[in-house]
Amino acid sequence: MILSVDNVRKTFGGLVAVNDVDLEVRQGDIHAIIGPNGAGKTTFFNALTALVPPDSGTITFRGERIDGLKTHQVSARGIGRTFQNIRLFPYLSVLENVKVGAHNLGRHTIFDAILRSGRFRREEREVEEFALELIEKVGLSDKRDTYARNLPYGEQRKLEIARAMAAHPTLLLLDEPAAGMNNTETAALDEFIRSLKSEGYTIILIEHDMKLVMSIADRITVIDHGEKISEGVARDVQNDQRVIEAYLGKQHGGDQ
Amino acid sequence: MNTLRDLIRSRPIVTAAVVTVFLAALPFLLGNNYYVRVATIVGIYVILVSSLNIIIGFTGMFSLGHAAFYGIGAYTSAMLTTMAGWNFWLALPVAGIVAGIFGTLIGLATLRLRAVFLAFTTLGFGEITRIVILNWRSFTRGPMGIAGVPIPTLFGWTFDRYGYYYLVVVLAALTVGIIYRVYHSRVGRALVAIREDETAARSMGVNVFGYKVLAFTFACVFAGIAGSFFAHFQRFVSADSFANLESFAIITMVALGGTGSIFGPILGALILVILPEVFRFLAQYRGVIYGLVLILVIVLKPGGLAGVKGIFEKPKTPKRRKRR
Repeated sequence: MILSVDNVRKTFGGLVAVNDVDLEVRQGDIHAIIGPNGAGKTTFFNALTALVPPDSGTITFRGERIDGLKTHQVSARGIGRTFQNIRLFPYLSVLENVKVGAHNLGRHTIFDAILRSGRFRREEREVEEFALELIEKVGLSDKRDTYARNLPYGEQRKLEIARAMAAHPTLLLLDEPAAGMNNTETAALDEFIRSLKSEGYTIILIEHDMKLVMSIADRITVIDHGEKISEGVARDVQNDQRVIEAYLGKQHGGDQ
Repeated sequence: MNTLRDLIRSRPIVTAAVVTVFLAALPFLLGNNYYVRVATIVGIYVILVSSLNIIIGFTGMFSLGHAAFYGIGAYTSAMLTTMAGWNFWLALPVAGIVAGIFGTLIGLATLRLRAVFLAFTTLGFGEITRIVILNWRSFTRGPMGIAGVPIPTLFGWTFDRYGYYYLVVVLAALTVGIIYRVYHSRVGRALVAIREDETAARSMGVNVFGYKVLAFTFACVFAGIAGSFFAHFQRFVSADSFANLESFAIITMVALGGTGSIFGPILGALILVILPEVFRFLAQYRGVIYGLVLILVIVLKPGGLAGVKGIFEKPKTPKRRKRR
């Protein structure tokens, strides 16, 4: 298990957003988290990355407890993420956005920068090369100097993934990467996420596009009202009575 | 403008040579002592405005008390040279360090809190600094100020007007050069990322609090150095020179020149130092001029003249495409 989440709970006032959720993610899997809107999926991501620290429960990543760490420390342990409501750096270029993602690969300090030391020059060269590579991978090479704010929506999503990958994470958290994409774009994304898997990334994916989820997910966890209601491979989850109820309501007819 | 920028980029050595020759020849072109003095004051403000731009323009924090750190640098240098008999060349960097230490303390105390608290704290700190200087007679000589701050000497040569001018040119060039280098580094990118989206910066592994304190300290060091130069240039320091109106003037220059760029602060300092000198009869309305300029910038050109992003600009979020 690359990630073990045990009894994680997060409440906002009286609202229990994440209710004692367990999750085990295997190394190299694409693990999807689905559930109706407002089920607590994004809050769960935010709890993992300490943006909203969980009230209780433990999170173990690669054998190390990461609950209680700060967000930037979680990132440094090797967890990268994207955001449901795109959070790029609008007034930085595509290239610079990815370079910020690679922040922790560098070690040079403000003094190295002032003196343009050997370490500074070597690191900047490496970061530049690596960032260009990632940009090419997501197909934004010809827009490397464009401000992120001027990219069309679909390309902003791609840039977010490239930026998340820049820190050399072992685990990628993708929050609704297909939101707002058309069928062609989603098909391309399907392929892209598969290629990430084959490169050895472990991926946790929040997604509403069921076609995409059923196609690429090795395992699926279903969350509703902050609670885990089902888990397993696509076929099991699709046939789980509680899942069908959560999505369609209790009184469902027999014919699908 | 773009073609000029391209020309500068493609011929950096030629540009540097032209600028150097121009700055070296400037006092002789101006001829008049008074003009050389104004040029020197422009240099002081280039340092102050460029350093405040690190806080406001790069990192997106709001400091309303930059003059306090300027004043701390000036008093540190004036006191070390007049009371402790230090050499100017030693007092200059120490003034920067002392201002930097105060900056670190303020930063550590407030930068974990929401952005407004830094604004309030620095505003208060500016006023406290002025009042402490004014009332701690045994230490700062209170309202009498410190007179007779020594003239710097270099290898036995005592500075004249030209000496001050060339020294401030070197200090300002160093400041702008150092800021440029930091801006184009991992550190600078982290600062701008914090300005653009703190949550995203955090998630990319940027230690937001640490970098905010670093940026604030870094800026205060330069303010302290500007203060030290000012003390030895004016040869007299008193609390009046470092009141909140001074902070306000520096902020206006940042806003006018353009936040978040390297060249903007130079432009802002140049215009707003020279403008009141040209319209001498308006000298008593200096505060009014700055206020009007600030309002005009906000209304007409929130990014400033050469800025990347205006401090008063609303962050634009991309429109979400309808789900299909």
